Formats: sequence, structure tokens, C-alpha cells
Amino acid sequence: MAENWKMLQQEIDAASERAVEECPDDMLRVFEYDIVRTGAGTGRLMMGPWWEGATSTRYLGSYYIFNIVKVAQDMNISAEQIRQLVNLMLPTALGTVELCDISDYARFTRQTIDCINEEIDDREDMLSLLNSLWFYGSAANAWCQYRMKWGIGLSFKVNHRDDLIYMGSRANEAFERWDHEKKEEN
Amino acid sequence: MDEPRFIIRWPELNKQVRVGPIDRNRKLFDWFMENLPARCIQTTTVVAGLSVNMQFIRMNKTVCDWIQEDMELEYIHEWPCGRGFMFMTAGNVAHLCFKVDWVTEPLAYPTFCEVIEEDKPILKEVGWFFWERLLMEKETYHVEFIREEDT
Repeated sequence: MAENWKMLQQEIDAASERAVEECPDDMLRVFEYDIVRTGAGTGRLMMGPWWEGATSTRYLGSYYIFNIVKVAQDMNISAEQIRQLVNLMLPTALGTVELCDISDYARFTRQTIDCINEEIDDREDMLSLLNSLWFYGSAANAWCQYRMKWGIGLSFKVNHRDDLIYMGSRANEAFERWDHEKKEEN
Repeated sequence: MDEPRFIIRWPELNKQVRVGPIDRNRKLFDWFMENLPARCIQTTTVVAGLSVNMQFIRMNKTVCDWIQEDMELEYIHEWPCGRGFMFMTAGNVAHLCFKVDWVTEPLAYPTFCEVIEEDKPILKEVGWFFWERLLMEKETYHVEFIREEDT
């Protein structure tokens, strides 16, 4: 049963106000303390939940909720069409956000979908709630980007043109070695 | 009469720059000014060059009534450092970026404002400071936007 949408909106707005000041707890837990309670992370490695969690957070807010709010600037888009877009676009990215244990954002989104499906019929009410979720999603996206362990990237610097030329010059060695190695029979 | 300006302030650094309109997309400048003051956390771009990135600025007073594709667009790798643009803005949320240093990305965005020449060295200084301190040290910095006339 969906919660009262106005209460949900108040909760999302309050969380958004806190997110302007401090990193939300769910993102701090995943990105700072490396705690994922869902079993996500093949081989108990955190790289997957970090990357997939941050990517799906971005998809959910900046690509899906954003585009619904944007397209709804066209007053010809009806409440029923907004509902269809919500059900078409949000669930897949939401599944990954849930799996990566970004739990508050996932719960806000899940309950928003429930409210839009079961409780809200007015177009402006739908957009009002989606707007609140869009703000929280934008904050979540910013905190993910900020909390991501970019230092890992220092181990994999972007190659310079000269590096690529050198790598290319040595590529033949790999083929030559392969040609001289004994090939196993199938 | 002088053009209106807004101030970007980084309270933890006690630094600020002044920003004025440019010769395009005045609608965006007026809309942004109308919704000030505002505050969010500071981030930077991580692909294709350095910009300071403000991804969730609440536009409390007036909902967005324009779309990016209808605005006059400029290619980011061509425009001067210090120029500001909106990106993925809708509803009551603005996403604002300022080019700090070289950018290689040949994509077009709606530019609408620019840090005044006198303050551009400050933007460059804080931009590179954030690159190190946000991404590597994980320190939190806030950014505030206020109308100059309100200071």
C-alpha cells in the first residue's frame, strides 16, 4: 500500500535539505565504508557496487526522472502518459540502485512509483512529487561522483600519444611469440 | 545602468567570484537570478577537462520554463574559461557548470554568463584546488549563489 504522497514528499524534501549539507547515509555506507548488505559485489569485491551503484543512480535521476520532468513541460503530456513513463523508465535502474544498497534513494523511488500508480491522479501533484525526487536524485548523483574512489584511476592513467606509438611498435612481439609457441591441438 | 551580476561564494575557502550575463540566452540568466539565493555542494567534472560543477541547485521560486535544445548553444572546447552554462536542468533543479581550464569535449551547451575578467584567476585557482581536494582528499566544500545587489 502506497504511503500518503504528501508525507512521502515531505520526507524526500527533508532528506534533500540534509543532502545539501552532508553526504546521505546510504551513499556514505556504500562508498566510504564499503558496506553492502544485499550480497552485491561478485567475489566480495566492491568495484561492482561502486561503479554500478553510481551509474544506476545517475541513470535513475539524471537520465530518467530528469527526462520525465522535462518532457512534462509540454502541457499536452497527460497524467496517464507521465504514469506510463514512470513505469517504463524507472524500474530497471531502480533495481540496480536497490541491489547496490543505496537504500534511501531506492526506497524514495519505489514509494514514488507506488504513489503515482495507486494514489495520485492529478498531473501537477505527480510532477510535484517527481520534482522532489528529481532534486534528491541530483544530490545523490553529486555525492556519488564526489565519493567515488577516483584515486584508483591513478593506476590507470590515460595513455599519451607517444605511449600508444610505443605500444604499437611492440605489438608485433606478441604475435611473433605466439607464432613460435607450441600450439595445443584441439 | 550596470548589468546585474551574481556572486559565487565558497564559504569554506572564503573566496568568491562575480558573474555577469553574456550576449546570449539572457532568459537563463534572468531565471537563475530570480531564484537566488541558493546553495549546494561543489563538485568538478571528471571527463574531457576541468569545470566546476554544481549539480543540484534548488530553484525555489520559479519552475524551469525553457529547454536546452531551444537555447543558443556554444561548443565548450571553443568558449573562454570562466563561461557558465546550464546542463540537464528541469523542474526546480538547476545544474550549472563553469569552464575552468582546457576542455577537449566538442559538445554544445547553452551558455549564459561569465566570470568577470578580474576574477578569472580566482576561479582557476579554486577550480584546480577542488580537483585535488574533492576527488582525492574527499573534503566537502559548499558553494553559494547570491545576487550582488543583495550583498
